[in-house]
Amino acid sequence: MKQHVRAAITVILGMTVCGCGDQYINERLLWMADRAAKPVLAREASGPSYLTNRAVALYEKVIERDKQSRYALDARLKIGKLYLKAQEYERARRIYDDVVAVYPDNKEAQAVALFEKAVVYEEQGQWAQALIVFNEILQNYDQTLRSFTVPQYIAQYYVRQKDEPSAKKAYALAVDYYEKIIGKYPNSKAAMTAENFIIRIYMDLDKPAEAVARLEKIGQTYRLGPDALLVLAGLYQEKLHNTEKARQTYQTLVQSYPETPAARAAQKKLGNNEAGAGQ
Amino acid sequence: MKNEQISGWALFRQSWGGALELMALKRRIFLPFGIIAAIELLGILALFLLIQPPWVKYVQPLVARFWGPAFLHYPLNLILLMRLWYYFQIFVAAVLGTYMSALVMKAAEVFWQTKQIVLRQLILPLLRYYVGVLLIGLIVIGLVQWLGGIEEKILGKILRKGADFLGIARKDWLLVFAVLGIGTAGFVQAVFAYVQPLFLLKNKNILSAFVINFRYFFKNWLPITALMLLPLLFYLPFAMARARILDVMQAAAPEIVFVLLLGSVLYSWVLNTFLTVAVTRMYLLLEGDERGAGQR
Repeated sequence: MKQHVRAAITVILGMTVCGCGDQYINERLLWMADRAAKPVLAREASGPSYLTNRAVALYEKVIERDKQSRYALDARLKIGKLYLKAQEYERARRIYDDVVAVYPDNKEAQAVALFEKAVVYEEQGQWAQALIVFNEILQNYDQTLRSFTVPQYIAQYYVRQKDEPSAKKAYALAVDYYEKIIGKYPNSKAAMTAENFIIRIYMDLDKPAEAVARLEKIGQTYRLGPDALLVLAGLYQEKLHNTEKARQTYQTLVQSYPETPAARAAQKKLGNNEAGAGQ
Repeated sequence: MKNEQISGWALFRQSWGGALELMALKRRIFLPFGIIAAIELLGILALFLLIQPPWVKYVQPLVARFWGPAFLHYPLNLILLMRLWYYFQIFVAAVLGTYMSALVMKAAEVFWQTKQIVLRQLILPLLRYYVGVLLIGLIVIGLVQWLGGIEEKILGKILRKGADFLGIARKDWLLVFAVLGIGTAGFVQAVFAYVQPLFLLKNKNILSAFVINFRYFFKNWLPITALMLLPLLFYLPFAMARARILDVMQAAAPEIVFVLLLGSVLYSWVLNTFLTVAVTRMYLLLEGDERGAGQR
């Protein structure tokens, strides 16, 4: 009996040790660090340095375990955010440069790090330096997801600065950039993402008719997803005040993608519209 | 019923007291549900391992399909563990728990005849009742699950209504429905409490057992409902913690899930033993059978 008990305990302990493998420990450390970083990042102003240091120390533990893991990448990017919040710009940029150096084969990670580095320059009031980094992303990382956000981000910066002529120019350049991507990689995921960003820009510029035309054109070639249909219906309803087209699009969404959050939202809109019409 | 004059309070008191007395005198009565508890503990471990590398690749598509890929990562994987373990617990309860319940029931009956606890001698003879008790168990479990599903749908609708529906905050609705879920489970078990004793101890066929059960229940609904629901009050903290598990995990640590699961296993072990013995006692008192309540 004692032997059986001992064997059972050995098996249980062995299995537990196996279960608490690298993934579990790394994710746990990252979660703990995120929990420590959350109040620091949520503040309007930079908080007490001991809170930042505590969160950074936890992220560094993740990096120590495996410097090249995706967990370490996540930890590095978050340390950068903490330093930015603490207005330690030089340290933040150094962290992002580390990411570019440590992950030479990970273009997406490099683009993200460079983007964050540019944001650090922006926060410091060095927009010209930020633009240099943004351009580096556009030239060398043109198929990464993060690179797509760059042209729109630049234009939005000028909008925030209330610099209308620069914003107008930046939006035009952005559309041009996305059109070039569509031409360079036709029928690809990159082309679809570029289409998506052109629509976003039309919405930024409050040009709903152009956004709708673009979406309808995409819909002729590809099957629009639930979120795209919801956006299209919303544009018809709220911007173009074409209730009939809005209703048809909501109905297509509900029929084509039932049980999706977008379909539920569409169903609600249909209900509201009917109630509104009834009154 | 030969013994209808017994009052509800006396029925409740004697069943409760009789069960506690048996459990205090003969600890071996805990053994059948102890085996279930051991299986459930091993189940926690096995399921935890299943959602970790390297075995996670086998369940990855299934988890991604039903819960989403985020549930394969910490801390949501611990919520997934809780969910999977819940299904495992239902499976064990149906396949083995019903038989163990029959074993405890018969052992309790023998105890009140001979003051002895026999378990080993009952294992084989009771096997011929296995299909019957399994069927009864499946009906009751199925009903509890069905009603639980309806409650979940209602909760979903309430939560979609937005914040503070009927002046109750969203988070508090989770607690309300946790209590309601426990209450429903207890009540359904009370409604069908005498089916198994009638089938097992009086050799009634399943259909007659259900019919007679309702007669027993409607004549003595209060003591059996109280008997089933009162011990469940102690389970409420677990149920409430589970209902708001994300908050609990954030406030303490995600590993609190293991404490909750362990607590549930231990509590179910004691509760199932107690309820089975107490229901047997109540049935025997009602039946007025000399083997059981004759000594009263």
